Amino acid sequence: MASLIPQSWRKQVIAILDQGSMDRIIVRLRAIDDFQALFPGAFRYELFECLAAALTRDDFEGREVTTMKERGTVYEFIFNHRQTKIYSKINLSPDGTVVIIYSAHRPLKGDTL
Amino acid sequence: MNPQPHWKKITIDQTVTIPRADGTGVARTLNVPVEAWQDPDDGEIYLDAAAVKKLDDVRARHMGLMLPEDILELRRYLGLTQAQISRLLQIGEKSWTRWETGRSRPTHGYNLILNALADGRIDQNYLEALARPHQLHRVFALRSARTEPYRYEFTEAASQTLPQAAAA
Repeated sequence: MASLIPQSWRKQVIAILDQGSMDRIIVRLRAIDDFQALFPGAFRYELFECLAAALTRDDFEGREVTTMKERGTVYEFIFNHRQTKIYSKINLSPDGTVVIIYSAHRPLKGDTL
Repeated sequence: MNPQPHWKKITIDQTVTIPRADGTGVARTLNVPVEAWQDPDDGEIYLDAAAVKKLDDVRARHMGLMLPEDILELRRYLGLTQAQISRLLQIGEKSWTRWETGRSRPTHGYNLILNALADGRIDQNYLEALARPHQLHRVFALRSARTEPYRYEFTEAASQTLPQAAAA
């Protein structure tokens, strides 16, 4: 069941995405490909932009995922971008310096987590 | 920096699609080599933001869009702060910052204006007047006084103005 994503996690992820730090944003190739399939005219970087924009909402909900093997705190969530619902999953490293974007595709199990 | 100790660095070819100028369909596709990371356990491939930027830059270049570095150089050439040039173009300062860092790209319309500004085809004072409503009457007065459409002669000398000035 979805619940509020902690503000501290959101803020750290937004800061990294907003800064556009070249070696601190890691994205799974499948996520980029899925995003491009959803928005063929978009630049790849728009994925970082729309994720940062979605996470700014204080009432943003998601669900913690504990099954990823990479260390860090992972949340999955669903958000809207250009009238399209997108499922995403992001890892924030334990030291809060690196994000890994695992997913960016249409929700496969309905519109709720 | 290795994002995960066990990931291996590899080089992959990524397809970059260049849309037609009118936005209908794909004009062509290119294969661009980029550095990536691969998890040897499950074969998943990861890119960092530098690789993503490289792919976006190739696409932007082939679409005729100015690159972030060009946009930054233009502002420095004009001697303006991000806030000043944002006011000049009547856009948000965040938008300009994103153009400079490559986090977003100017639209084709703004790209035309940026190129014209870089080539000295648009006068900075003219844009300043357009950005100040109380000065618009001057622009309109000049426009109505013209009997001929505004025409630029593109010469070799004019096209080299910016690089020469930038080099100096």
